[in-house]
Amino acid sequence: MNQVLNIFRKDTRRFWPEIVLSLVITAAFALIYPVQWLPDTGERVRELQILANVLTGLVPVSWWLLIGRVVHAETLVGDRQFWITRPYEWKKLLGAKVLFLLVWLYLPFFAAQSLLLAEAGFHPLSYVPGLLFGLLLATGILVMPLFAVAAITANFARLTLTLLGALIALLVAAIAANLGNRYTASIPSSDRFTLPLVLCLCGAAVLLQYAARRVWQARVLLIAGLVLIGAVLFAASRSQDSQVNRYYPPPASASAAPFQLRLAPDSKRKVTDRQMNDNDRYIDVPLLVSGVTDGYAIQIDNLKATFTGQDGFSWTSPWQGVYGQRFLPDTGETQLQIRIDPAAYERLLKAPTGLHLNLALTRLKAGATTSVVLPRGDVVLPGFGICSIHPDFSFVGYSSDDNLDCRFALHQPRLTYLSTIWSDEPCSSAQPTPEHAAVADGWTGDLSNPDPAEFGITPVWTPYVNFNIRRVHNGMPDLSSTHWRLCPGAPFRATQYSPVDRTQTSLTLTNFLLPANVVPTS
Amino acid sequence: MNPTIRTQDLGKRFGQTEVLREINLAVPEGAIYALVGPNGAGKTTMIKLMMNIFRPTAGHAQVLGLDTQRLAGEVFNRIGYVSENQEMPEAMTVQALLDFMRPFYPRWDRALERQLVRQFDLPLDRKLKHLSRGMRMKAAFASSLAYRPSLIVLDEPFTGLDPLVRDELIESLLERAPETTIFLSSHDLAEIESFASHVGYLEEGRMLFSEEMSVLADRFREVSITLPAPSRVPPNLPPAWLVPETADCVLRFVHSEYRGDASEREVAHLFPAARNVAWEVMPLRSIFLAIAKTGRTQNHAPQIAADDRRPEA
Repeated sequence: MNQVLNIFRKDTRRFWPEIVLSLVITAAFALIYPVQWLPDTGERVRELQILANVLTGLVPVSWWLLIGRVVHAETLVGDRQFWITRPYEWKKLLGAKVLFLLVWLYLPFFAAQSLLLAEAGFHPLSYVPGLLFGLLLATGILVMPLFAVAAITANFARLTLTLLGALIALLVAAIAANLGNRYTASIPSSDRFTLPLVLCLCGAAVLLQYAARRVWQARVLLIAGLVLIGAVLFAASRSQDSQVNRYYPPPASASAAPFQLRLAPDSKRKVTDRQMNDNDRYIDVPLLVSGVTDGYAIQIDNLKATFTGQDGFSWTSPWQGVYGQRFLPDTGETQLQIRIDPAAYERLLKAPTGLHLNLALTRLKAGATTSVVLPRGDVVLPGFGICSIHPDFSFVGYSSDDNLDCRFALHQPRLTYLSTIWSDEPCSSAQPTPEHAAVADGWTGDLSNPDPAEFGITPVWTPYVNFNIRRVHNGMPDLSSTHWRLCPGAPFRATQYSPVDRTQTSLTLTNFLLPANVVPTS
Repeated sequence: MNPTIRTQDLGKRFGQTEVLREINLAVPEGAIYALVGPNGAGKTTMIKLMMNIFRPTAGHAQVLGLDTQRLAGEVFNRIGYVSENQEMPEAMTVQALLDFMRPFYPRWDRALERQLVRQFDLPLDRKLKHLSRGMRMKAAFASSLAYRPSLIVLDEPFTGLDPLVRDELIESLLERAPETTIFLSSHDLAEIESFASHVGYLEEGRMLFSEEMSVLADRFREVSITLPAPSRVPPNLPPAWLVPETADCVLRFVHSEYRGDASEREVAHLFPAARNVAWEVMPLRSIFLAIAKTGRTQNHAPQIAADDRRPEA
């Protein structure tokens, strides 16, 4: 232990400028970051928000500096270091480095995160397991890779160049994985592979270096790990169809379909298409939804479309992701967007075609509902987050994500359905009468991550909460020019949904006419 | 008594380059062993093998009774290592270096530390990076001697130092000599001949010999044979006769295996018409020059290791 403390004291004395710099950045981040939760009004607030973003980026940069410097104080690469012929015990040397990081990196970061949670209105003691899990994620994503690369490089410049090289390699791998992969499916599995692998590989490389200074073995191990991760990600991107079929098994029988869909026969929304770029066409298909059971919702995750022309020509898309399509029992009309190959589109355009849609969906079950009357200022919604409204803010249109700000501790909220009442009158008046009110609703959060924390420099998440007008009084004037507000006193409901099962359903449309008019959009 | 350092067929290869091969040596306890040889002979590689900085690709070595590949941690309490090209913690002051090193060594002698600081006139408040080369070497010595190591290993410790500093360091080493074994490398014979008790000569990765200085001095003689008429260097001279040359009627060579009467009889047998044969004791410098010249003439390491000492008629 004496050796651990001796090395720790030496490193602390030697690297006090780096330590002070890191502490100043972390403290400034903790103090300034809460401006991110303020409404984006005023030049001063915007400047501070930019500064907060810069500081968020500087925190990991300070870690890079701290880890690189302290590991290279007893560099593990080379044959000229004075310490390798001194009675250093490798476990104690490694212990001293870990102690250094615990005291000067983890502890300040933990304190900063706790302070931010408290600032955001969350009691940090209630979130200790999540905070610790967040530190574990930070270890796997940032600290261990930095530590491992520092352990296989001789100095800070080489560490920096190696990190840049690794980043470029990952970028190239990501670009290569997406080349020719125009259709991206939504896969519900959360990644349980990469983080443990990174931790194991980096840990093994660090141990190998400290125990035996096997530089090239450690380097090969890390490079092999990088290649393995790249290969797995590449393989995953190339096997989306089989993954969707595995995660979304077809139903045992047609009657088991959890809801029904049919083409909207006389809808205001016509079948339209949009040309997004030279390579693809997007077709919006209006549909009627029915049969969703009370207490449940349906989320469409992926679709696969097969078009069959009268001449026998057929084109089937791979599975393609569908985002934000959730149906409640009272959902009437919706529209699905289909991406189609332009050559197939041109060929199928000439005559009515058959369209067969396979839908991969998740059945959601409603959980606890929290109902409150929105006050002026913060409102704590148990199991959800802390929200506040901006009664002075009005907007025009059918949707807005600016009138309600919510903060969540440690991760994005679980998938939640929100509804409230908008008013087209100033907030000073009493509750809006039905003639001046609109029901607005929206979804926020996601299903995919059950962990107690997501990786982030900040522990407070502020995703957009987007509301759309769902229902208005029949006698309301032109909605497109109405100024809406979310006022104190408005009712607010938040219902969490959890996944029940995943399955597939299908829909066949005969004599489907592809839209002829292509409307270019930017 | 077990030797402090022992190597057996020790070899080191970097890729295709064989840097050391079949090194066999034994350094007895209490010896001051000087490993000499020209630049690039493999001296530093050998020392790094002994200190477990490199791993051997052939053979093995023992230091203080331990296989060198197991040298780590606590055993360095008994070893002091100083190298001319060692990377020191440059940002530390001399005082900080000594303060940092002290807790590592249970046998650290504060009085000796103070004595060494005084003896070397070390500026305690100066950072190592601001010290001259000589002062840095002194600081390294002080931090390596203050715990009274059983073995001191020095890699070219005096290279580039002025004579005064060199003498100071040698003096400090000799003060430790009774209680420790010293192994040092040098490419400069003059540095070590005054105090080394044993010497090994390394050339092109091969140990040409390794023995006590006194034995070495006894073994070499400069021989001058006066022949009846001018002559060229005769062919098929014994391999132990190094750098033979003729000048007029005189044949000169260095006998590397002088054995008194036996050697004189051997010369008389090979040159029965010789008018005169003179045998002169050689200074160490001349011995090494002869060995070095032999290596260069033959373009490979000369074969004069102890086991090969068998003259051919």
